[in-house]
Amino acid sequence: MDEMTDFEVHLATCRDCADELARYREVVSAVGALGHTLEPAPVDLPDRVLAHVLEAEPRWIGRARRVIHDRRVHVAAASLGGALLGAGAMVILWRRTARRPAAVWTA
Amino acid sequence: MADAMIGRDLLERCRRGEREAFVELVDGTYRQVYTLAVRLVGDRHEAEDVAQEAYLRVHRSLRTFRGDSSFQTWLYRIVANTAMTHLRKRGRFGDLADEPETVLRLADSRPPEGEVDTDHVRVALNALPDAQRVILLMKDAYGFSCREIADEMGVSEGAVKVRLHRARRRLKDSLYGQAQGGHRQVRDRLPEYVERGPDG
Repeated sequence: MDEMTDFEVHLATCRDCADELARYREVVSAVGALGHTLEPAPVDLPDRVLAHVLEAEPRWIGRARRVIHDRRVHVAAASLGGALLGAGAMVILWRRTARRPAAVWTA
Repeated sequence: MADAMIGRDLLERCRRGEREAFVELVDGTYRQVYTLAVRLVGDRHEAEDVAQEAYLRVHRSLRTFRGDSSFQTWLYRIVANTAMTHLRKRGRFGDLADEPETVLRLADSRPPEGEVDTDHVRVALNALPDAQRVILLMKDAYGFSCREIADEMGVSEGAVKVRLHRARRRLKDSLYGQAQGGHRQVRDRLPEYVERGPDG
């Protein structure tokens, strides 16, 4: 902390160092201002970007992605899963029933 | 997480693979992407290539964007990474030892007491070694931390700080001329002092 105080006292008394600090800050601020301005971009850049993306990605990947995210496909998959579970349960029940000795039923 | 740049719905539609949504995303962001690219690589033609490649990466990895940072930060990180890859391929992303110490002198071409002109800053920035320019812009213009920049570049945080200070000093010397007076020990402590602020 004392070191920092000494540093600030020096800045307050040395004109050259104070000027150096002011210029250093101005550089930081001038570069910072660049973050708020835009360069003029070519108007056809979006079209070229899209052409580049489409060219690089095979069409089937795009289709597959759309199918995977389609809610109707989700519902169909859930229905199919439910139906398969139900059918599986029926088969298990039927097998258990078939394995039991006939005597139990006739007793 | 969506932000001012891109809405949450649009991001979700892009993730579902809707082409129109991706078109909208590009339309809404390409000026910012191009601006960052042109500043990082220092050439308009090369910046177009970087922008195209960056959007390809965005398209491929949108599903992995979880919103830990804002979409804008995520997008800028991809652009910066693409620009660095581009510069490395051209052998222009040397290590610290390779960086020349020559300083472009613009101090004589501008009024001595006038404010720094944006055009002068652009010219001086383009004269910096690529790695220094990238670090300076990412830190001071786009608000990345030294830690984040170090992660992106695959170097230590200390190396980023050294380059940042060199870049600022070189830019200052370029715009104002090299310091004649003052004390070296004070000059060396300026980056830390400016980072902390006078009350830090």
